[in-house]
Amino acid sequence: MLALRVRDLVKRHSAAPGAAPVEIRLDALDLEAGAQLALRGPSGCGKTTLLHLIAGILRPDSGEIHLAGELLPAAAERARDRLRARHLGYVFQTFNLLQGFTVRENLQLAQRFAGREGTEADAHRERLLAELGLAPFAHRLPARLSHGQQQRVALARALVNRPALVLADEPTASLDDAHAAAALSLLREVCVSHGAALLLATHDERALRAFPAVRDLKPLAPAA
Amino acid sequence: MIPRLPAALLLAARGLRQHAASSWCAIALLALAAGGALAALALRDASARAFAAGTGPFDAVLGARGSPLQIVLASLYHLEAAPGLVPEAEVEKLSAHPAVAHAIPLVLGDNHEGWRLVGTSPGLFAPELWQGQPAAPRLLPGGRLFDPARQEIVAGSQAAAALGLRLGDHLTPTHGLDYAAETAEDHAHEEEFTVVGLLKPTGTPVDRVLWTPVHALQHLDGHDPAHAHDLSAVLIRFRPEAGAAGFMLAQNYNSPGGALTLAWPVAAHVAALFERFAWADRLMGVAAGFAAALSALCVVIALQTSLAQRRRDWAILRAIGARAHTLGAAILTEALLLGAAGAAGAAVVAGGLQSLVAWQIRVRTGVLLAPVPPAELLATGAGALLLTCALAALWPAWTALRSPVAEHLAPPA
Repeated sequence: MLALRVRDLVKRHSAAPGAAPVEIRLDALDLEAGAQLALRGPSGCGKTTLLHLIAGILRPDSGEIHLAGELLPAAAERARDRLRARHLGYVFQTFNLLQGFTVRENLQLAQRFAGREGTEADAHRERLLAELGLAPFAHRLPARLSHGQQQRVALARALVNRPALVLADEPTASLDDAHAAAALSLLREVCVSHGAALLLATHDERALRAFPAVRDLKPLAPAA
Repeated sequence: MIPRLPAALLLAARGLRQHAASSWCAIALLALAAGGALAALALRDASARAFAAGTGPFDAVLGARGSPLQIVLASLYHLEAAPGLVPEAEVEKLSAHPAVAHAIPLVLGDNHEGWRLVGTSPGLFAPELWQGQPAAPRLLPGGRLFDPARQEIVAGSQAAAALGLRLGDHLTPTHGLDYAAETAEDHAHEEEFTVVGLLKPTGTPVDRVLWTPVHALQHLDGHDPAHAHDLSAVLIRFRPEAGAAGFMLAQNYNSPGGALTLAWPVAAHVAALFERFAWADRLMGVAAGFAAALSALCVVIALQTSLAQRRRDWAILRAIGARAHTLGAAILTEALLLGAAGAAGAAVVAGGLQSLVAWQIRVRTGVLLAPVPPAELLATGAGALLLTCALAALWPAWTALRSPVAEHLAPPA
């Protein structure tokens, strides 16, 4: 089964208020379950916008996106929220952890929004925390963790609902070589071990070298 | 671990905790604004009721020609001087009237350390006069009523407590209603009065008086012998079957050129006193409206401040699957939690203010007010506050729902 299927995706937007509108286009993209793909493109080419479109955070102007076989409806925000919660994990460049909640609670909230609660969900969460070496810090607030620990929390939160697809936005930016390699290795290994496909957007050559498949994004074109 | 609460409630509670300083500020402002308004409303009703009840069993008061309200305040509330003198013969005349059940003489004009000595007859304490009244004056065990022929005192509870009076104590009256320590010696009478009875608290102005026989005051050394048979007022209770007797007597006494005034019915004159303060009622209405507006503003500011700081959190929550309506419900819940805490605080503030004012009124007038606002008023106030908070949350909730998620996911520049 395909974890992700994109067809004829078009999104027009302005990078800044008053700026000339540009167009993001992706004619076709298929990602098999458990597969890993890197999207390459320079800064400002629309990588993050594309990931937001796939996550259903933004609505495309046209085109279709299927997550784990289900169509991401452009109009129905509620349905997109539900699909995002159930089938998608998102690792942001700056982690975007909820600062008012502990490590464990960050994961629990993601589970709650996906409707995955109960004994089995609790056990899965605790296993994941242990697997990523976070169990001793589970009661801490994110601000009290190191950069690397916060990245692992972001990864754990992305995987806690057993998603079909994990999106990662520039996960190695601002990391030195050693830490970038370790972060990337962990991200890829954990996605493999949990059976999640991985779509990574980056312009970091160190990350791109580690990926078996790389897809170049088209440069932004002025909107018609 | 996250408690198994509805997501909206959980997010609201955490939001309040995360922004504890602004939350507490909003709660304190809500409590002060709403508590002040509630106390003002409660005190208005409580004081009107308590003062109306303070007239005791009396239907009318006869005094010298003057303001009926002054006569009522001087003789029933012991707050003013009587407008003049009433011949003692009026008591006998009124007592003989077929419509009058009780005619009780009063003599004012002396005090002891600021507490009024009021001359009266033992009839004031007659159980049949106070039948059916909740605040009948009753003696504490061991005491007795004064002997009309002696210089004896039955002390009201508040006066006795303030002066530290016990049975058998002696005290000397000072001339006049007002007491000034530095001139008290010049105005002191020579006679010594003995405390023979102490009254149980009644919660009425009776508690603030040192009761003594009429003749004991009339014949004090230094008083003008020409007025030795004059009174300050006569308290009147009509027979139940008296019908229009009060009206007829008022017509007679209050006719032009007369020397006396019959304040009848006393309850109407007390009500008239409160009508004089109708402007204060309107002011309180404006104050209550202002408090409601201030409460709404507090909630909007608290929510907007909190939301401005949490826009990224909301975006992250949306990105991990929270639905827009869950966040909207969380904002509404947060406002309601602020409102509920504010309402609890308002009840405490209103209770505190009312207790304080009630205590002051008790000290100054002897009238006992309920120390806390009635439960119905507090419940209505809490409901109004919650509604105000809910309405105040609509705009912040709407702006949060319309807030673009993708824009706020990026870290602040």
